[in-house]
Amino acid sequence: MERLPAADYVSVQIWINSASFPDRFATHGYRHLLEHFQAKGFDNRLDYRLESKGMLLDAETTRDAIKFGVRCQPSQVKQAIQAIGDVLRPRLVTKANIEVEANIIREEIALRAGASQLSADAWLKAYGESGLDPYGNPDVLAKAEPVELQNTWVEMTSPENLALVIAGNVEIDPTTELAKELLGTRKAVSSITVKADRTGINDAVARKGSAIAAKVASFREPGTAARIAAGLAIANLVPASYFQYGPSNVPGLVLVGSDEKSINWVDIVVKENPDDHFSVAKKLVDRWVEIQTTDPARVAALRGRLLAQSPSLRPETLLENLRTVTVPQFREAWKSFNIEVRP
Amino acid sequence: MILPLVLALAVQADQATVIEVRSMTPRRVAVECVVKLPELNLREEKALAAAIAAMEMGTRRHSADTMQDLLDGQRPEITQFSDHVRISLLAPRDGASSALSILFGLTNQTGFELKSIAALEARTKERIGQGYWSRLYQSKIDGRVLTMGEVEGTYSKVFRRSQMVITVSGAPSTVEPTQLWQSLERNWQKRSVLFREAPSVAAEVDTYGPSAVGLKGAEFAWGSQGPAKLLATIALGSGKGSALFHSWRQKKGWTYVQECAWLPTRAGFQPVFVGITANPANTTELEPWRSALLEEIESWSEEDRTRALGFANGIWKNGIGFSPFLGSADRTLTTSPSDQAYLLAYWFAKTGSVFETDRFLSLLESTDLEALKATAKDLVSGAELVRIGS
Repeated sequence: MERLPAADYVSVQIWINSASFPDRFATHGYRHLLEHFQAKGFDNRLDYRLESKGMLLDAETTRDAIKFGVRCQPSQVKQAIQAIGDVLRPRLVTKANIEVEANIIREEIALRAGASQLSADAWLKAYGESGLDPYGNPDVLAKAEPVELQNTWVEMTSPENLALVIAGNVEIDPTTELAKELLGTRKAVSSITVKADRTGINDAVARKGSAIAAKVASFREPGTAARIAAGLAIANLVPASYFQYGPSNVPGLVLVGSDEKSINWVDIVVKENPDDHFSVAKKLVDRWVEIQTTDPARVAALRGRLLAQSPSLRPETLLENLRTVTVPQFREAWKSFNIEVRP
Repeated sequence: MILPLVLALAVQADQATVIEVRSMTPRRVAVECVVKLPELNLREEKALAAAIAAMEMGTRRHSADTMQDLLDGQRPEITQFSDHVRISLLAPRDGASSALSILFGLTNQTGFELKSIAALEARTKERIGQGYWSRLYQSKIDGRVLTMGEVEGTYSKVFRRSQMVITVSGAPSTVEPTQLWQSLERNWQKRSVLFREAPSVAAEVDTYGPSAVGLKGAEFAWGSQGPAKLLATIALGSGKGSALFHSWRQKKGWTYVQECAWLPTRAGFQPVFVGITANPANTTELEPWRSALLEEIESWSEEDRTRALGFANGIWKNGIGFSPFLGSADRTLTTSPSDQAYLLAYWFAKTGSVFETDRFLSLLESTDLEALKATAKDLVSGAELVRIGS
């Protein structure tokens, strides 16, 4: 629970740790498929009910977790938590439902933005099967069995895998009580516990645009903060470029890219002197931190994705490291951008 | 989320209009400028894109790096629409004066510091081809090389004080943005020398990759029909309870991406409904896309009207996003402090009145179910059905 008195809305998010069910080639995208089904709610009309009250449900599948979030006003928190309860309830779908939804995911994959495609390529290049993108493989999804999906969901949503985060202008104690009342009775089920990790090197070719990435260790390491600063500064050198990083306790990537195929990122990293960009990097980091720590949805996401991995993980470690990045750390981080993804 | 309180509105002939508003955020000051466009032909539209690309590269008053430094790491964002140009500056809380000075440098007393003509060419090409919505509805581009005179002439034609509405949101009470701007305006030059070298800009735009089916409604001015058309647009295309989502995605399985927007035009707005698909078989016949929507409208009940009104409240009061109004060529408006300040400037430039959330939403509520269905049917039946992209 994070109280943000100046916030003008509340974000209620549930993060479901996927360590027990990471994407593998044989089940690639099951979590994404489940996200699609569960977001509809028990009667397929959850969105409809929320939108009628000016609320909005969003859902996302990352490598580490599945997230469902509801954006609402402080007076609507109870309904938002009930909506989260609704998406957690296991649904039994039919084989026909699976075929239709696998096709929609096929469309989703085909239409994904350049940044997303490029990021998937970079992850595969860096981590092989353990870096598989969370969108999934529609051919694998079409063969999924309803009962198999339902069992997976029941195991994944065992309480030890869940983190409920509420950020916004809310009173902490009564809201905590409300959350316990609405969600606190869930029973644990025996869960497969596979520790999430990422290893291995594979190769991939970008299909859209160009990018460069740096491998990072846990979000807690000072080197990760330095790579975030360097990544922001490198992105700043190319107009209309993008920057991606999702905090995680396991190894990951900081990636910068562009929809332009012709950008020679390696050349930029080699030829530019990082010292010339340290000052602007500090400003860019301040802005990045400001955005992550003032907008309720981002605050909840930053906390939720870490808490789902372990109740002891806190983003403050990363934020403090970001404030204290030194020039030598920054130089070192700059050089670590060496995973190039281009056609 | 309600738009911030308007503290002052200064309108004077032959000067920019300045709107001052109380901030929603204590950390930043947002300076938003809307420049209403005169009628431009295709070559002038391209010349404006070249001028904007050069503005982003720095002005005689401020280099690109200085602008970024004064704006605390941010760069000015400049977007060209069919009916206006949006200039968006987000500065530190004490940076209103710097932001207005940058705005002045961009819109007058310029004289661009061009690093190279080749860079300008590349930036112009990139700018013209940029943006989700502009790619979808890109009008034809004049591929011939521009001259310096054309770019300079278009710049002078477009950036005129009387066509500018500026909103300053979030300045501390000790700062007086209207006076600051008026003191800068005293040095406004009727004509500026722009380019040191002649730009040579040839740009053609790649077509958008996937196939898209679009329903392009007729253009109209906001006026008395606006609220019903807006509610019908939301009922048809905004959110997962909308007709587009229910029909094109859930029932038919044709598309993952389906959305609506009101494209700004010189006459007013043009509602568009888009479904994007990677499967060419889905777009062999276009008429079924229209019929599917008409079928949905027939089945609407009071629940659908309630959902549309709830969603409208969500957009303008709860900040849930998915506004039909565009914030840039890439995205629709949000309720960020910058976008709120922009909406105030844009709505004033477009309609001559201040945008007030409650009054705006009460206008939507006056549309009953029968009127909603009739308006939606008109929108869909009268729309041009187009295939976009390959």
